[in-house]
This record gives sequence, structure tokens and C-alpha cells, in this order.
Amino acid sequence: MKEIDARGLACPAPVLQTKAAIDEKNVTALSVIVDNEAAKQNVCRFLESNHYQTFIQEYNDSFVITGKFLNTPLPHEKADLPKISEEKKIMVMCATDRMGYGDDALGLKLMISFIKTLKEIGPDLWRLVFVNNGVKLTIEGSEVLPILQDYASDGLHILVCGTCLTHFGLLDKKRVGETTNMLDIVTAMQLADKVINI
Amino acid sequence: MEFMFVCPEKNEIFQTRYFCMINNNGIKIDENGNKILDARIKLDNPCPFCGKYHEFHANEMMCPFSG
Repeated sequence: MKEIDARGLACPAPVLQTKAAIDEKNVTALSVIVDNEAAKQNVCRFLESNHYQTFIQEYNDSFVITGKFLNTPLPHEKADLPKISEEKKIMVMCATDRMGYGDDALGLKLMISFIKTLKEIGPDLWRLVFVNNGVKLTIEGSEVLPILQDYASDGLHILVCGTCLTHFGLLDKKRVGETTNMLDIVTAMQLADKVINI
Repeated sequence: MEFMFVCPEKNEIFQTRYFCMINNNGIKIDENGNKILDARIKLDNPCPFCGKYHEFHANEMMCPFSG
């Protein structure tokens, strides 16, 4: 089994090493050792997006991620060119778990309704980003969690601010979306055709 | 999983999953004592903005979803 020791490396280096390994032919199983939570999550996501089943074991301050290839066809042909999407890219950024000011209970109802109704934007809805208090919508117990999980399973990219989750002590309670950083948020803003701030 | 790249010719950002690692010299220690991946990344397909097959150092890559 191919083994990669990515301890001490900052992302995306562990993911790049993993990609290089699985790009080799006949790699049906591999293990990747990382030493931080972000690398663990990112390597797992990468492997799973490439049809590997992942298993994680924790040893002291390190994580050993084992990936086993599932024999399912890749969704994209290798010959595809990088695409510039013809759809509009609408990014919605939620910096709060309440909509508006005045009455928190009403604000929560409005936010729930807003999240439910977002699907009406259709395929142009490109990124849904949660920062500051907005990250509380993505954790266990959130009233909109099932809706957000449906969106994610339908292919919507949901980004959740890692700094904000850490600030509120909620990093391990997030149940939907990809933990992200400010560089990714700023880059998404730059790529988006429209940014809607809530 | 797509990574983001910046076209050095047009300074435009694009996303693609089609790239490979070349000149992989493994892990090195930089002048600050940090571990880095000493490798170059090359696009498998031409840049959608200028048509070139750009190369980047691994350190120039943006993490698509790092926390």
C-alpha cells in the first residue's frame, strides 16, 4: 500500500501529494499521515471526491487516513477542458444567523425562510458562504441544517469560515459545508458575478 | 475536486481538476524552517484564458477549502 507522510506540511501540499499518488496507475489503496485537522479534512474530501472510501485513525498528534478505491466510474472525462461556466455565479454570504434587526425570533424565522427559498435562484446559486454568527446555521441542532444538507447533496458548494467556527468553539459541531478560509472567500467573491450579503 | 489557478498572462482566475505534479523533489525545509513541498504543478489542459499549459510551484497553489 502506498504511504505518504505529509506531517508538517501546510495545505494544499498534503492534498497535492495525495493527488500525485493516486494519479499513478493501479493505486487501489494508500495511507496518508497528517498532523492537523485541516489537512485531515482536506485529504479525506479529496479522496472521497475521487471515489476512495476513507478511514481515519488517530495516533498521538497525527492522523492516519487510509483510502480504498471504490470501483465506480469517474464522473468526468479526462479530456474535458477547463471550463468557464456560462451560468451566472451567484454567491450568497450569510454573516448572521438572523435576518435584520429588531426582533431576534422574527429574524430567525426570516433566515430560515430565506435559506429555504434560496433554491429558487436555481443553478445560478454557486456558493453559499457562512461567516461570523452565520456559521451557527451549519452546526448540529440548526433548524436549517437538513435544508443545507440537501443543498450540499445537490451539489451546491457551501463554505463555512474556519476562523469563525474556531472562535465559537464549534469546529467539531459543523455538519455541512467545507471549512474554509478568508483567501478562499475573497477568491470566490472575485470569481462570482454577483455577491449577495445577508 | 477543482483547484484555483491564476493565469500569469491575463491575471484571471480559473478552476480545474486537470493538472499533474512534475519535478517532485519531495519535502524540503525552507529558510524559515518550515516544511514545504518542492514540486511543480503543470496543467493537463490549456489555460482557458490564454491557451498555455502553465506551470506553478506547489507553494503558489491555493488550498480550495482549507480551514
